[in-house]
Amino acid sequence: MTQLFVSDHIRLDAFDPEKDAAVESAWTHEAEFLRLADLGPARPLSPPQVKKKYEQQEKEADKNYHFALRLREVPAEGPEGPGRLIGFARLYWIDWYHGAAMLALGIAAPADRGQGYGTEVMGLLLRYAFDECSLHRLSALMPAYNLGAIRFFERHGFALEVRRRQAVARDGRRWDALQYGLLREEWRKP
Amino acid sequence: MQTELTQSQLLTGALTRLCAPDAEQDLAALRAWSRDAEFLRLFGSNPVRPWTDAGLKKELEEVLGKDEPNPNVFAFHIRALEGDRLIGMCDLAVDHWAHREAWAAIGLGDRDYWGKGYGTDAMQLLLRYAFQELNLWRVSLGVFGYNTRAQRSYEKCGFTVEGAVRHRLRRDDQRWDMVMMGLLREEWKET
Amino acid sequence: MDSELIHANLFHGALVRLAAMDPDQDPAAVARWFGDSDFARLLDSDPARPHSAKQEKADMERRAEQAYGFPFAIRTLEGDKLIGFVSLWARNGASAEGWVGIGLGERDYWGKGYGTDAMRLLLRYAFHELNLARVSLEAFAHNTRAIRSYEKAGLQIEGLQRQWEGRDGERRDVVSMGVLREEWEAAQG
Repeated sequence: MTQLFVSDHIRLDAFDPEKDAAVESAWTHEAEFLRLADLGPARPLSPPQVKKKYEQQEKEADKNYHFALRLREVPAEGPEGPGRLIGFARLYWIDWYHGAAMLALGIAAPADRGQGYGTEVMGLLLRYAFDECSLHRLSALMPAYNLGAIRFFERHGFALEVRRRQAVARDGRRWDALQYGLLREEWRKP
Repeated sequence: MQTELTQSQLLTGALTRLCAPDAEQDLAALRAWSRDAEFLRLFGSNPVRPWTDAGLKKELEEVLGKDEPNPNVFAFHIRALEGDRLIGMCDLAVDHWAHREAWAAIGLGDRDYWGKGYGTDAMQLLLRYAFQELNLWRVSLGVFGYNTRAQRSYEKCGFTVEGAVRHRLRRDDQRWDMVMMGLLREEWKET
Repeated sequence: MDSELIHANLFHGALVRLAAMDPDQDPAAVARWFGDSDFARLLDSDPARPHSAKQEKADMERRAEQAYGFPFAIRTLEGDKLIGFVSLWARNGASAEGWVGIGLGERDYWGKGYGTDAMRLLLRYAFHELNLARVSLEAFAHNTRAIRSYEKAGLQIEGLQRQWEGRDGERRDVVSMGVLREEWEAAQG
């Protein structure tokens, strides 16, 4: 049996409205993160608004699996700590009948990026999607200006499947919206 | 002429017109279509099953909006001009107005009107509405890989294939792609 | 390079940043502002009346739910002080136009460029995040300080609505102002 939720540095966890709402509220005040992670208009959220969002997520739980990404705290001795919230990951719009889902992840603070955490998260998510949820394929959507995401998904074996031309407008110009896909048979099981 | 509006009769075409969905008036037709598994399998990806009247009404309510019209969905029923017969439905759905993109969907429930240009005519009306009334920049759609007649119709309207979501659907123990198409405002030509 | 976007942080200006209004932390301050009748009488033509923090909290929560509303708190970069609010409403997606309203509740920050900075941020949001084609605003004709601030931010007077406001035994005009996307883009260069 393998641990589905834990890798060397990362724990996939549920969101804790009491502890996490303030942290997530702070992320949403950094427009760059929102604009890289999301196509909808960037909006800063207050902690109560974040809590409401968590409640809404509970309601859609059968088709949307939301994970909190926590950086593990493993002391020399004693039990593992709760871990600092560094980002989010989700399998969403899960179409159980056809075994297809969308995938998204984001690490909020620039200082937490480039440490290899994203790769660990992707490893956990893919195993979860293919081995635990028995999905057949995954899709990821990203705007063409998000060069970091494009490199990241290509490195993990996703192929460019759809280019929606000029579908994203920001900062006075247009970019394509890219949809990347990974089939189960293409997944390199670790 | 009282007005300088360049487009009159926005929602009337050569073969069809677009009108408001009406859960009561249209129920008999909707009921018949919702028992046609072939139509359902061309139109939707959920496992097909016959609908109850209550289910049909609720679905329509969800799409149109309960207490007030859904500001992001423009749903129409399609009537043949000759005889004013209800033959299908279509809609435009906007995710984010900021990007000025809408997703189009269309289905002709009445088989007698398949393959005769009615679907293409209605799609042209929908596109005119999208570009001239909603001022959109592009219209997108997804079409099941096995629905080749629809793909041809969309290409006639000017849509370009922009890719395929591989193995998106499984039906009849086979996997099918979802073909994705797009049409930009600058490419759209009224026929 | 990780991204081709122009604005590293859309919400940050030179003096202020745009933030979410917090219905847990902010109602008391906003209610206090409405106790200053000068502030209330410059904001709009509703009869000035004191607000309770409870009412303010309920209003904040309601506004946060409106899909076509974009309300922001104005907070100073130095000291992170809540000094006002600025909001954009973009109800009709097809016509791609929006309305903006602003109020600086902390008098110490009047006439020092804070309002202009906030309005600049909001216009950038309107044109570079919501991609609106134009933004409209209405102001009392006698509120010359505000009108100068709006002009500095790029808005132009487009018209006059005569004798709109009734106060102090007088009827006073409202100016209609607006800015088009092309004008705003040209002014950025």
